[in-house]
Amino acid sequence: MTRPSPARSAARALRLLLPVAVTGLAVGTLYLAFFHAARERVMGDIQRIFYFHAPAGLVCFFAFFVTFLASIAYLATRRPVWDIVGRASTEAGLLLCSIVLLTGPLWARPVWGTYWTWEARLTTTLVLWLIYAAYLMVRRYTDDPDQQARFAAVLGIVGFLDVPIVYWSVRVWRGHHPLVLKVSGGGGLEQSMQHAFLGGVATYVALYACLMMLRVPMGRQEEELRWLRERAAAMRDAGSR
Amino acid sequence: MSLPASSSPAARAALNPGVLPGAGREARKAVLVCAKDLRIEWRNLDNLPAMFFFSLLILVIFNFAFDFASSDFRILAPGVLWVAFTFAGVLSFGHSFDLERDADCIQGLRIAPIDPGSLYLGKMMANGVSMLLVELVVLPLSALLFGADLLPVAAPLGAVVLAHTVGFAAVGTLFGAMTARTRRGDVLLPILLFSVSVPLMISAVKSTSALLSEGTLRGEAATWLTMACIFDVVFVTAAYLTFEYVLEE
Amino acid sequence: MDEATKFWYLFIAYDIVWLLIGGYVVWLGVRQNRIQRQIERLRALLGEEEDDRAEGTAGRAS
Repeated sequence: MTRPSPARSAARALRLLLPVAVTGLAVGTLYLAFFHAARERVMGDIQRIFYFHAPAGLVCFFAFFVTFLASIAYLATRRPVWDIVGRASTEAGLLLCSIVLLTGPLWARPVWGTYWTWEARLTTTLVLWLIYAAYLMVRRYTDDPDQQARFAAVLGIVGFLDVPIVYWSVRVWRGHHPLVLKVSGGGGLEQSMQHAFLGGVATYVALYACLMMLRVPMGRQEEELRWLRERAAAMRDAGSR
Repeated sequence: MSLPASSSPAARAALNPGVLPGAGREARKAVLVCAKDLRIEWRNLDNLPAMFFFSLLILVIFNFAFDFASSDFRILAPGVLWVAFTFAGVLSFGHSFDLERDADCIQGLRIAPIDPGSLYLGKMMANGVSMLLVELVVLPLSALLFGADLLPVAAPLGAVVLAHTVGFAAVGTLFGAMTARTRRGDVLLPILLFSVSVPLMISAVKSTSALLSEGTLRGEAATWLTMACIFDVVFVTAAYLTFEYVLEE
Repeated sequence: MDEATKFWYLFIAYDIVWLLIGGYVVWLGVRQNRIQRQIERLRALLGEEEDDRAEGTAGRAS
């Protein structure tokens, strides 16, 4: 029924290429992280998780920003694709968020002696995780597809507006205690560390693109499935009457 | 509507929405929605007693969990009180839209000539007033239970409580409308409310405890109060603008 | 904490990164397969019934 159009085959090529790119970038970043980047003077080798920890946080924020934009776009245009994009982006963001939340404690334990510190960025990430997990739960518990899309869009907007307020409040809450990590952002990093950090960012950006590439067509198929189910149900009703 | 000739133009305008400019007219409709909800509550007392009882129960439970008598009021009370207030609030937010489900009242509101945003503001005010009523009783009671004197800080405490109650009501009303129409809405509402209102919870506890220990609104309490006001403005605006999508059938 | 233990933490942290990503991709794949199968089954079902009724419009979601 579906004939391959140029766009479709381009999408297919991209679909094959992207995972390869992600793998390549990941291997490259691993090399940079373990062999190229200088050994951190105080923390030692354990700091090398940084190159897969911090970029995940960065791209996770970006993913939720995409959800925010897609939510606005959905409410403005009501095109189902924006809803699908919002959902896909939230799932990818939540995955990256989980990576940050799980690798953070494993880094903190050998360095500071505790698994968890209520440090501003880590706490903000935790709250983000909670907000967007709630977003997915609302989707799960809303039966009507249009309603689900609208509720999710409202949450995508409200949740993202919350991010700066959460960050600010957590910072003031903990007081301006000295940040144990001076390595945020990459500005204070040594040249070789910066390379590995940028490699990590590239890896996660490619991974994000790859996941979207997988998840968005799946969302369309879910929609088709729903439509087919409705038709089948209508036909059954017509037949039994 | 017949009015006595002696009534002032302002009073006449307040009673007759037709002569008011757009914004004022919508504001009056919001007040009408709020008054309607409060009147219903006043007549059948379905929810307020439960809210009182629940927050009182939380105080009692926390007393056994933390032993108030042997601990500092200023450290423990803010957290306990705000948990009690917000949990009571959850009852109100959920009930606010269950109310409209009976006899499909929400359909009536939807087709009534009222802006969805105004409807939201009305509902939010009603929820806020319910929470404030609970707080008005529970605060003095907690002062008794904790053996502390709240009278010297009554005015600034009122400001702190009001600012945060508005914030919780703003978020809670939006999510209440949403979860009233999902499966397991009673479970989803607190999940949504407490994840999004984390900053408000922090500032509520921090400003209350700063106020109790310092006795004035200056210094730390002021910072937190500012934060709460920013939260209020951001979320009342966001909810006002998005409420029509939540309400839509 | 000695260096060897520290390396263990690093090792586990990296494992978690791969496991989470891999887990999500596998989960996507499983769901994708399930949806695909259901779509095909429903299409076949609807196609047969449509042939019975001589309605020639095989539908796709817009």
